[in-house]
Amino acid sequence: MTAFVAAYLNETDKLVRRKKYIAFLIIGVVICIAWAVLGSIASGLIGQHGGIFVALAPTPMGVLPFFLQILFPLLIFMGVTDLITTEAAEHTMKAMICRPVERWKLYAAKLVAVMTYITIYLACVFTVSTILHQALGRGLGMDALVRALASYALTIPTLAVLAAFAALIALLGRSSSLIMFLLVVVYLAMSVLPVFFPILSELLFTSFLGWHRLWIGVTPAASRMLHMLVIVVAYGVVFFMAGSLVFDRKEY
Amino acid sequence: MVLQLSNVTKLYKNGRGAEDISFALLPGEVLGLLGPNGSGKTTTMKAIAGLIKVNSGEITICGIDAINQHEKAVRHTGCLIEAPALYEHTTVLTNLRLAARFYSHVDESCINEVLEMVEMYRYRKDKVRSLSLGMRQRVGLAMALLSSPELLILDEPANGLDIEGMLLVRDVIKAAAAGGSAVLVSSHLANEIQQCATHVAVMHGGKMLAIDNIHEVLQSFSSVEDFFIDAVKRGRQGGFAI
Repeated sequence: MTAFVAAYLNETDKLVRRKKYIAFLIIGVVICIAWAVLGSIASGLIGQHGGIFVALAPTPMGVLPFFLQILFPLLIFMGVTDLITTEAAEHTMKAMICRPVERWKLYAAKLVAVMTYITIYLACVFTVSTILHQALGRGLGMDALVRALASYALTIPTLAVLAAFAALIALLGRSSSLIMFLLVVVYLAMSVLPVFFPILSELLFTSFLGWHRLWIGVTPAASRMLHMLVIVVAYGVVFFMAGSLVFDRKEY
Repeated sequence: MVLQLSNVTKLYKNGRGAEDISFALLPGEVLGLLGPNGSGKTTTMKAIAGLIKVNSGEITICGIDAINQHEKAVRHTGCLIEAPALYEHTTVLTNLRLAARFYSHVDESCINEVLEMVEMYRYRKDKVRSLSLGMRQRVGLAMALLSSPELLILDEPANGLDIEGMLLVRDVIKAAAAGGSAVLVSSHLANEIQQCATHVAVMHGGKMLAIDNIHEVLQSFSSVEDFFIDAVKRGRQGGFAI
C-alpha cells in the first residue's frame, strides 16, 4: 500500500506540475461563466421566442453534458497519454519502474491520478455553476441541488472506465500525438456508431457516459439499471486487467 | 551475496541480447562489465533492474527473487541505466523528491547529501531541461545513490562527463564499495574499469567470455585491455559466434 500511495502521489504531482492542466481548469471555469451568462440571456429570450435555447440552461445539470461528452474525454486522453505514452517515449518511465513498486500498482496509480484530476475538475464545475446559478437569482432547491450533486458523482465511474480504456490504447504506441489522435478517432466512432446502429448503444460503454440521467431522472426498471451497472463494471475490470497485463510485459 | 545471476538469458526479436549470463557479487565488490556496444551489458543491467523480462534464468538480489518479487528486491538497488530518467519540466530537487517517496528512510537531508556528493547542490532549484548532459548524468547518479542501496547498478556512468566528472564517478563507486555496497558498473573503456573495479567481466556478442579478480587479471596481463583482447580471442577460438 505504501508503494501504491507513493506512486499515486508522484503521478498526481507530475500531472499538476504540467501547466496545461491548470490552464484547462481555468478554461473550464470560464466556460461555466460564459454558459451561465449566455444561459441567462437565452432564458430571457425563451419567453419571447419559444424554447430554442433550452440547451443553454444555466444550471449545474445544464452544463454537465458538454463537459461529459467533450472536455472530460479529451482531458482523460491527454492525462493518460502524458503519464503513459509520453513517459515511454521520453524514457522517464524507467525512473518509476526501477523503484520498489509493482508494475500493476504503478499502472493503477497513473489511472487514479488522472481520475483525481477529473474529480477535482468536476467539483470545480459543480461549485462554479451552482454559485453562478444562485448569483444570477435562479436559486436551486435543496432537492435539485442533491440531484445535481448525485449526477456529478455518478459520472465518475463511467469516466473511470473511459480512462481505463484510454490507458490500454496509450500502451500501444510511443508517439503521443498519434495515440491522442487515435483515441479521439476511436471515441468519435464509438459515439457516432450507435446513431446508425442503435443496438450498439446497449453495448458500447461510451453510451453510458450520460447514465446519471437514468439514475436521477425517471427511475427505470431495476433490471435495466442492474444490467447497465454490470456492463460498466465489466468494461472497467476488463480494460484495467488487460492494461495492467500489457504494462507488466512492456520493456523499457 | 548481494547479487546472483544464474544462466540469465534475454534475447530480443532480432536475436541480440544477453545469453546464459552467470555471476555473483558480494558486499564491497565492484564488478566492471567490459564490452563493446551491443555486447549485452545494458540488457543484463536492465534485466536485474526489472526493466525487461528475461527469457530464462534466475536473478536474486539480497536473497530475494528479483523476477517474481520485483518490489522487494528493487528496494535494495539504485540504478542509472542508459541516459538518466529525469522529468524535464521539473527541478532537480523535485526529481529526487519523487524518487524519495518510495523509501521511508530517505528524507530531505539525504537528498541534500547526495546532491552535495555529486556537486549538484547549487543547481537543485534548476529545471532539468536547463542542465547540460554532464549535469544530468550527475543528477542521475544522485538518484541512484539516494536510498543508500546495497546494490548500485551504473551503466556507462561516465557518459557525457568531463574529467572532473569522471573522477567524481570513480570516487562515488569506491565510496559506495567501501560502505559495503556491491557495485555493478559497465563501460566500453578498459581504463575506466581498471581504475575502479575489484572484478572484471568481459562481454561480447551477448555472452560473458571471462570474469576474474582485477588483481589476478593484472598479474597475468599488462592491462585490462589485454585481458579483454585475450578473452575475445579465446571466445572466437572456442567457437562463440562473436
